[in-house]
Amino acid sequence: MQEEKHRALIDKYLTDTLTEGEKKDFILLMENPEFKEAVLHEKHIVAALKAKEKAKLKANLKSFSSRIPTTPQQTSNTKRLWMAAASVILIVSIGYFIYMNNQPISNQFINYYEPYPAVTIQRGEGEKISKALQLYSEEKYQEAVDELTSLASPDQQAYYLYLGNCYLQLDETQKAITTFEKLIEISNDSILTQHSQWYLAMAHLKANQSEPLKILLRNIINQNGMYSELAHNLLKEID
Amino acid sequence: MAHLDNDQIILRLKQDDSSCLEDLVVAYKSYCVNGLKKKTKCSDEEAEDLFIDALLELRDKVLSDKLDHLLNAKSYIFGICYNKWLSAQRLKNKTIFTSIDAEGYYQQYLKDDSSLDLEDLEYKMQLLNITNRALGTIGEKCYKLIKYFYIEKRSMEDIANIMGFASADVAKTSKSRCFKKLVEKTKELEKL
Repeated sequence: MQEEKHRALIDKYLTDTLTEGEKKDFILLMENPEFKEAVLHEKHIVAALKAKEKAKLKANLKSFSSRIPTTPQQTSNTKRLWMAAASVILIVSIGYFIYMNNQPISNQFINYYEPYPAVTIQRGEGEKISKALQLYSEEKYQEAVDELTSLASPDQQAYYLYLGNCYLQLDETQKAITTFEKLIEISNDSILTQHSQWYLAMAHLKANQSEPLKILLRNIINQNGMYSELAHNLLKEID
Repeated sequence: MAHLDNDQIILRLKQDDSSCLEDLVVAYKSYCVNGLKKKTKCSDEEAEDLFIDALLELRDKVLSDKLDHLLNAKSYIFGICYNKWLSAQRLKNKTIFTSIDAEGYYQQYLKDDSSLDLEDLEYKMQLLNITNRALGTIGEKCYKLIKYFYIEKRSMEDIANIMGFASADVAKTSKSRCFKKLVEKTKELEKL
C-alpha cells in the first residue's frame, strides 16, 4: 500500500503533475537519500526518453519541411518601390479593363447557388436534430447555427453541410469555407464529399476567390460526379 | 491551404496533433526562414533548423500549459526563432552552427531541471546512451506504454483504450512492470 502510494507520487513528480499538497509529502520523502537516488535515476531516464522522442519528432518534421519549398526572399526596398509603382500602373490599367468588361465573379453566386435541401424530419429522431433541421428549413439560419454547431462531428458529418450552408446564408463566407474544408478532410462518404466540394466552390465564389475556385472546379469536373456539369458551366463563365 | 486559426493551433497542439506542426511548416516556413536569413545572415540550413526548433518549443509550451493563447502565431513563431538564434550566438560566440539533436535536448532538460544537479555531467550524458540501449530491449509495447504515460501524459483510461487493455487498472499494472523493467535494464547496463 505504502509502496503503491510512493509509486503514484513518483509518477506524478516525473510527469510534473504533483499538487501543492503532494509536493510537500514528496519533499519529505526526498530527504531519504536512497529514495532520492532512485527517483533522480528515473528522472534521468524520463529526460532521456523525452530527448529521444523530441529528436525523432524534429527529424520527421525536418524531413517534411524539406519537401516544402521556401518562396523566394523579397527584393530590396528600391526595387520593391519601382515594382510597386509599375504594379500600380498595371493594376489600374487591368482594373479599368476588367471593370469595363466584367463584373465580380461573386455575381454568379445567385445563378449557381441553391441551399442544400433540408431533409424531411423523420419521426423518432432526436429532439435537438429535429429542432436544428426545422430551423434550417424555416431559414432561421442564425438559430440553426447554434444548434448545428453542437451536432456536427466526425460521427455526424452531414451536419457540417447544413452548418456551412447556414454560414453562406449569413454572409459568413470564411466560416463556411472552414466548415466545408473540414468536411472534405474528414468525410469518408463520396457523395458527401461531392456536396461539400461544390458548396466549398460556392463559398469561394461568394468570397470572390477566383484562384482556389478555379482549381476546385477543375477538380470537380475531373471527378465526373454529380456537380461536373455545373462546375464546367461556372468555370466557363469565370475563366 | 486552410487558414490557421490561432485558437485552433493551441487546441490542436494541446491534443498533440502532429499534423498541426506540419500545417505550421507549410504556412510559416517561408516567412520565418526568409526573415531569419535577412535579419541574421544565417544559412538556409541554420534558418530551417531554428524554425523547426521554434515549432517544437511552441508545442512544448502548449503541452506544459505555459501558453494557452496566441494572438499572431506567425509573429510569435518568428519571435522564438530569433530568440533561439540570439541565445545560440551568445553560447557559441558565432562559432560553427550545429543542429540540436537528442543529446542537446537531454542536456537542456538537465539544465532546466533544478532537481537534477549538473555534477559529473559526462556520466549523466552517458545515461542517455544507456537509456537508449535499454529502451531497445523492452519491446515495442512497453516502449509505447511508457511514452504514452510519461511523455504524452495520457490517462490510464486513454492508454487502455488505445492499446486494447481490459481496463485502466490493467494498463497501470503493465506500465509499472514495463517501467521497472526499463529502470532495471539501465542499472544493469551501467554496471557493464
